[in-house]
Amino acid sequence: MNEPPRLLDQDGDALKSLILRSSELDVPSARIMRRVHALALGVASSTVATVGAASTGGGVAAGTMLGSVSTIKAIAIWVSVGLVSGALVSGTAATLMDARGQREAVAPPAQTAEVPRAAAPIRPDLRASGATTPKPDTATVNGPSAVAAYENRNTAPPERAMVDRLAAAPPAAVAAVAPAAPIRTTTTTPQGAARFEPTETAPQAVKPSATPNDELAQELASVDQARSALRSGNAAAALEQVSRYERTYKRPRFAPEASALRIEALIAQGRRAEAAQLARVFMANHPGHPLTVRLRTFLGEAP
Amino acid sequence: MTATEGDLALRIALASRPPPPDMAEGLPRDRVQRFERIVSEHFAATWRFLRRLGLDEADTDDAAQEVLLVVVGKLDAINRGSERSFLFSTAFRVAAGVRRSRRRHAEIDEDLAPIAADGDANPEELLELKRARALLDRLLLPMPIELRAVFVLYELEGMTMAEIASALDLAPGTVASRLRRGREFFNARFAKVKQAQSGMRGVR
Repeated sequence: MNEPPRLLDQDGDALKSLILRSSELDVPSARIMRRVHALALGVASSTVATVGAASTGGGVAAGTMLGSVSTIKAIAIWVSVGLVSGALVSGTAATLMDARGQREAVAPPAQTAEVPRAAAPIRPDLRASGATTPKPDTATVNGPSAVAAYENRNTAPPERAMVDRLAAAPPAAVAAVAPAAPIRTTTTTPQGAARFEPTETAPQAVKPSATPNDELAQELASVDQARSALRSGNAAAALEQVSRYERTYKRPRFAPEASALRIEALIAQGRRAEAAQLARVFMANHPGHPLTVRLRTFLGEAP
Repeated sequence: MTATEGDLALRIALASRPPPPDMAEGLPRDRVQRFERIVSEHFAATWRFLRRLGLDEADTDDAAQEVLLVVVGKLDAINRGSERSFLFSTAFRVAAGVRRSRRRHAEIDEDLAPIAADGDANPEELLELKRARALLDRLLLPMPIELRAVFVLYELEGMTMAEIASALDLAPGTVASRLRRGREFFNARFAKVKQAQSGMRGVR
């Protein structure tokens, strides 16, 4: 099927590119992941009583989240699965907890009701890291330098890094960025101006804001530079720019995208083996990331 | 009942009884692992898809959970390699249902509600990302869900046209035309935002 170039690859409007990228940085909350976790435990439980206990055990009531009708349906489904799943509660719990890197003893099936209380929320970023860190093959790749460089960059999952950074960054650090801002619209509002001003229509409700966006804008521009180099056929420049980007930002927010651009650039240069290796690492590190779909396409794998 | 009939009934009963765990392939451990893999690889994307289809966060959480329940119920019927398609197609149906039940609210606040800050003391750059996302959602708000689904999967989730066709059970030509119309929609709305911004710059 004919694939038109994505909007992200088309024009260089910085605001549009930020908007289009904003979705992939949207992650489910810890709260819903706790619920998923509670349900996953339910997959393996074998009686209604156990499901009920599990759902109330950790203050994460699977039942209360759904309407009463769907609760019954939910329990029915989970129980039917549980019947088939038999006594694998410990299997689920063990895997989930391993995924979090927690190695505490896991309750045996008889103590299912205790598990949810012991189990902390599973965030997708934690899961991502948990899913990949135990793998010896990704940790021992000694191939081309690009691979090594990539792995050094990705010891911490970037989404996690971003969240941490966002949580930790004091406003002062944000204010300290250089004055030149690629997004013109962000430089005009005086600092201290109201950031959110309700107005009559949606478009006007979004006001350009002051300096806090500058660093983000610069980071974005840096990634975009690599992207446009790649789109204009200059893979070498793209690789260089990706490396520069990763050097410049200690905890790059768009690290997954930068990694994906590196892989695409390597493919463009015909370095398929390196690209394939990096792509596998990427897909292991970022399961479910939108870019993994494109990487599979690049590698000629079935999606 | 003859002995043979009794024997047959017993055999049928035995055959339809769930097999004991860990006995052979395709049994609990496999299923649990498969479910976990599906969650780890596709849950976040499914959640994002629901969100971008216009559900608020609480509805998205509920809907995402409902999608997983469907997955569990049909785990054996989902072909290997089609998990993502299955999730998205289920998500689309669930989201359409939720939107129908919420329609009145959506119409009331369409285009009028300001993009509000959460009011918490987050670092400002987080607000910037959140605002970009809020703007994205507002740009998408009036887009019909059929166009929106294709637009989101292609432009934001990076899926191929073929994948989208399979996930949404559409003809390839339909995917292409919905994408085109979705883009026109999005670009027109975006142009308004830009226009509004340059207008504000002019005032200052």
